[in-house]
Amino acid sequence: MLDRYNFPLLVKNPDNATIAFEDSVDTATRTLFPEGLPANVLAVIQQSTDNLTDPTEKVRNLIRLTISTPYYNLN
Amino acid sequence: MNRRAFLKIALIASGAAIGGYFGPQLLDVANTSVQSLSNDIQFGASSFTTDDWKIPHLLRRAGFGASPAELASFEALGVNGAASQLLNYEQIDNSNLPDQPNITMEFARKPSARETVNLVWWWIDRMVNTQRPLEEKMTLFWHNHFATAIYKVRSPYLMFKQNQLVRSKGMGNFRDLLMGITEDPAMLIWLDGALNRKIAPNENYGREVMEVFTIGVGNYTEDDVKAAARSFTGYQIDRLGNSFFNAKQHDNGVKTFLGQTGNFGPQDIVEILAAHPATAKSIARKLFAYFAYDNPSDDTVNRIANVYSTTGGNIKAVVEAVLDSDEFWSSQAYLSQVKSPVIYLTTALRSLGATVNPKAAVGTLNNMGQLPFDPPSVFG
Repeated sequence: MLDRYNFPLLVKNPDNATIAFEDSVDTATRTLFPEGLPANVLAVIQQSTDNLTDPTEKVRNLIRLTISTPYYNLN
Repeated sequence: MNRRAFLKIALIASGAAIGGYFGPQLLDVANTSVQSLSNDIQFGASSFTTDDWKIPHLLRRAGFGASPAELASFEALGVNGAASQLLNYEQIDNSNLPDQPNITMEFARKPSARETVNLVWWWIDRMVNTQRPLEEKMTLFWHNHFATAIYKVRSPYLMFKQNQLVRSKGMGNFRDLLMGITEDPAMLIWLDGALNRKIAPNENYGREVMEVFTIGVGNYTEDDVKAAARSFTGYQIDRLGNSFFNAKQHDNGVKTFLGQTGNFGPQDIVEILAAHPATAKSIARKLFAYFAYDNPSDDTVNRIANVYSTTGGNIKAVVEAVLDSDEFWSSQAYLSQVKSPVIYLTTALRSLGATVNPKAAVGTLNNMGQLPFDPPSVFG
């Protein structure tokens, strides 16, 4: 399971991705789950990425957390 | 796995991932949040006051998700227009994609790890970057249906050829597709059709073509398996990796198959199976489950199977009937599937427009248990 959730760390060029670190968490996560995540999930992701100052790490971890949610995992 | 069971696993898994990286203080928050989701969330169309969920739902099921720009372009078409564009992809230019993988384009049963990675990545890249997502989604469906594995075929070239076959015929007539698979060199190796001679019939393909590919268990006897095997005798593979029919190795005797008697050859068996009502139901049920949800009612299966029968096995018509059904647009279908590893990866890459190291990504797919071209069994 950890291999699965480590996948986004393999992203080579996060700056080229459609998620930018300037985006709000809601806007950014809608790239992966267009309907939008519930507020309490967004809050967890927000809290988990707020303290990351490196933009690349911020984007990577936002992606990592988003694809870990049941919303992204369900099809 | 249903949604409720999945949510329990997701709670544990996502909690572990978050906790492992950010520390235990956030694990409690994440667990509480996901726990409350499993109790409170209204998974289903009824929870939406608008139709905003419909295009994302359609693009997840009939494709591999979408980037924000792609999503916007489909939303501009409306639901019916978006479905129509996905279905009628023949005129959409896809020439930006590589036609073939970086493998040796000749028949040699010596697969290298590098070539296998190149082959897998070529297909993953198509799923991520194609302008015809339903074409690749159907290719994935038929790859699972006619599951053939490189570990036995041992030829990336033949696996590529089979992939091209199901891509080109995957939305056409099922009879034509089944005939193509019957003669396909990779399949002839995988299910021993190339060893099936009149003096020693090999029953492997004759059994699987009924059990897995068409009518299903309970609709044939052991005598039917023997008759099918005799009817399929004669196929061989030449040094270039092309299949051919050697009439000298074919059993020209009279056979009785599924109640019909004649001097049957491969095409006769394919015709009988493709036209069989049980095939209509099994293909309808499987395509419905692929796009909508598992365990559809008998009424639903019969309605979709009727489309198969009345169109003479037109796969595109069946897919269109599924995508146009009330069931597809129901709360029972919405988010009712768990993403497979391939879908999990390709949807993320397509949505993000991100690039990854192909070798590492293919390795991750292997670790997750779904490596294209290497299904675990004939059941996909």
